[in-house]
Amino acid sequence: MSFIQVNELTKQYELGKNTVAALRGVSLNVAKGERLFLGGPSGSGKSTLLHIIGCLDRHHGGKISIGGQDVTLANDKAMSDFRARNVGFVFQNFNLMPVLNVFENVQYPLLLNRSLLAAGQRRQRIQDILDAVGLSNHARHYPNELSGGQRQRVAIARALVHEPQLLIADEPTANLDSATGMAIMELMLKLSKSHGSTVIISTHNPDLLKQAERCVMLRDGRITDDIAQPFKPIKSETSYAGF
Amino acid sequence: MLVFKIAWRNILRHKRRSIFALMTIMVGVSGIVMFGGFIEANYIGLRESIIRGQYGHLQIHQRGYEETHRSDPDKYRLSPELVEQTQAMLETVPHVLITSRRIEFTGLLGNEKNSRAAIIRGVDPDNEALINSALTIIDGAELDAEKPEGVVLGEGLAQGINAKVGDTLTLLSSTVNGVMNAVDVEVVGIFQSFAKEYDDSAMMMVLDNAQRLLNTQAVDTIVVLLDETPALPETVAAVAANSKQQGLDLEWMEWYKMANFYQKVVDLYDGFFLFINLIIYVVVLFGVSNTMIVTVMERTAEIGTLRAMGMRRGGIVRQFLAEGLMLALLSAIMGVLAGISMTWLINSLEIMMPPPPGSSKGYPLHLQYVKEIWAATVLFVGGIAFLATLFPALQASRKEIVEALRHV
Repeated sequence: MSFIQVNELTKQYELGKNTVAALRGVSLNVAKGERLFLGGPSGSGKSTLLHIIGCLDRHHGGKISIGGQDVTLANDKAMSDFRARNVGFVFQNFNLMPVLNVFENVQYPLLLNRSLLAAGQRRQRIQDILDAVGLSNHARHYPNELSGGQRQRVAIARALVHEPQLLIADEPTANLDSATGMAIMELMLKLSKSHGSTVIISTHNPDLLKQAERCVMLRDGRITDDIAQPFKPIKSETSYAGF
Repeated sequence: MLVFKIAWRNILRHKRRSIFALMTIMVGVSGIVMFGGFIEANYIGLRESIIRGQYGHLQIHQRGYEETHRSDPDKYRLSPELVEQTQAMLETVPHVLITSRRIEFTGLLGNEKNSRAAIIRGVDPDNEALINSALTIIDGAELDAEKPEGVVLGEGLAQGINAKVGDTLTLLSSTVNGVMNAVDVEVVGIFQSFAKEYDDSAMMMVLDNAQRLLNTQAVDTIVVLLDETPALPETVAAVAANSKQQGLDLEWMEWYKMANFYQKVVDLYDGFFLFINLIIYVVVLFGVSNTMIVTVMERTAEIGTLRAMGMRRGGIVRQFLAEGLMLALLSAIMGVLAGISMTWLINSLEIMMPPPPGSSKGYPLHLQYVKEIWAATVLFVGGIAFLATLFPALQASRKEIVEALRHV
């Protein structure tokens, strides 16, 4: 059974007096631990699909279940709790809390999901993930003291610190130069694999889509291609310390 | 704790906006603290002037006096025996500082050229001088028991009959038997009280001489002065218990029941205070609300991120409420401290105020330190900040996550 099952998903937006269909009956199955890339031009519906799978937005028709849970009818509180426990997000604009330092930003999901970790274990978990993203020396720095690549690494650490079953990344490299973007992608995929998280990434980057083991292309709210190919490990030429 | 840490850091992060809100609230709160202190000082000043200028803390009469003394003043006067017993009883009551006998009547005071109706008070000169410490002798001297024919006149009364210190006047009144009687009196002093109307018709004379004029040994009232005004309820309870125990047929009246003017002033000032409080609280309401609305707008993307990470709507509300409350309470506490500092400064400058309406004397501007006002103001500002923040906080929590994340 697939980890994520999407059946005939539809979503419309009201734009003034017009109704625009963002998704027109999208069906998709994603296996546990799979790394799926969503591609397509702007307005194709990839962000909408990503938001619905990430339980950030609601759909109008169809059905979606994640890890066997039908999230179609869940209320806001249940959706919030589900996200806190099971989903990690990486955003295009990093979206770090400006008033919290790196350590505190990474710690936040552990506080939100009411983690049962003792304070010492929690600190160790944060230290480990900061080591993994190469930022343990920046734990007391604030986001405005970091480069774009460093901020995105903090965002990755924050997204994975609570070991979510699902990692959602919405164009995570769009605000980074290509070398940094590739390095970030490599890091994200490596860490998510070690955590066993299922990963869905939306991107415009054709190089990334070519290397993806599974690539789903969307256009006008419909899936136009669902390509599975042998995974070509993404290799960046930049080390973590360099971005 | 994280909620408060984030709230505090956000307050510091937006320094200019926070300082503006803080200053608005601070100025308002310090205004309340100072105006409240000014009003309280006025209440105390007026209260003590009334107590020490006219009524004492408590006036004790024979039971029935209050109902009948206007129509039949002689019927329920205190006999010399009852006066003696009552004064002996009062000596045992804590906080009683002085007791003084009084008899009050009306008469005609005049010389060869002028005469005026006067309200005359016969008093124990030595004790009355202590009770009437708020009366100011502006010319001459106080009454002296050694000079029984001496009288002191209110400033207006003296002017009305063109009397000066040293003049001999004739005082005409009817005795308790209804016969007209007259005594010659000598003006030994002219006084000013807190109320000009009182000074226009009042005079005081030695009790023995007044009793001689009225042909009686009785008195109307035993006036009681306490060592401190707040002890009045306790004293009244003791007087009630003792008089019942000793079978003394007495009634009494506290000063504030006689001083209608005081109650009117209190009501008026309370109205002013309430109005100024309302204005300031409205300013606080809009100040905090405006700050928090801007804060919520600026942090829309942050709200989206927190919600995406799994924060419930309640968590968002709590976050912004913490920020609004923290800012408001900090400002209120700083406002109270500023108000206390200004109070100290104003008191140390010893500024003289003009005479208030109905009064003939100016007074030094003095502000009280009123802890109850400080605490109430901080609590009120906290409550208003809660209301002012609640709406923006609820708005923040209701934002669509996807829309919030797209916000730049």
